[in-house]
Amino acid sequence: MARLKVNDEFPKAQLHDIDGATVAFPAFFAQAPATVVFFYRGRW
Amino acid sequence: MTAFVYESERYVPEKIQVLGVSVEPAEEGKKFLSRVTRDCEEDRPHICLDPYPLRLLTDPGATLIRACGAVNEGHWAGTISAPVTYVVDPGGKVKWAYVSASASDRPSPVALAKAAVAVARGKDPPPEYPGKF
Repeated sequence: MARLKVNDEFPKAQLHDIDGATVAFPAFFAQAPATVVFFYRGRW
Repeated sequence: MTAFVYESERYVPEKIQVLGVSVEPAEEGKKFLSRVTRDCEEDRPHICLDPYPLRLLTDPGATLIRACGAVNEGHWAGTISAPVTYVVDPGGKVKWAYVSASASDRPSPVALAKAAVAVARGKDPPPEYPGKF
């Protein structure tokens, strides 16, 4: 899979937060004027 | 990740959402968030944590991580995500990205916040704070 880059559409996906609530992309982005998404593991 | 909490005054007034995504199970995320919260309350008690400035998501099958092309299948710990950061506009378009070379290579908190605030205000990220790809 090619790496997502600037001006790409964020992929459709449905995940859960750590409390079990569902977060569906890209609809979730419409809830805020901007969203920061970062991928992490452990403390980073 | 602690930086997102410590820098929340840059994000919360602009109503910017901050999401952390990991293959780790929810319980690990809860433990981690508990440590971050404790550190913040002790170290920087002036920072308001209501609303909490950060939300953690679990992606145990690396579905989203893989769709973003950010999966690291060869790590000694198994399948994990590469350390990548995006700023996304309300329409779901990526407006800024920082692809880290390693776990210790993260975007400057100021650069990231400047990019996010610009997007939140309907502008392009400032060229003097470029991402990395």
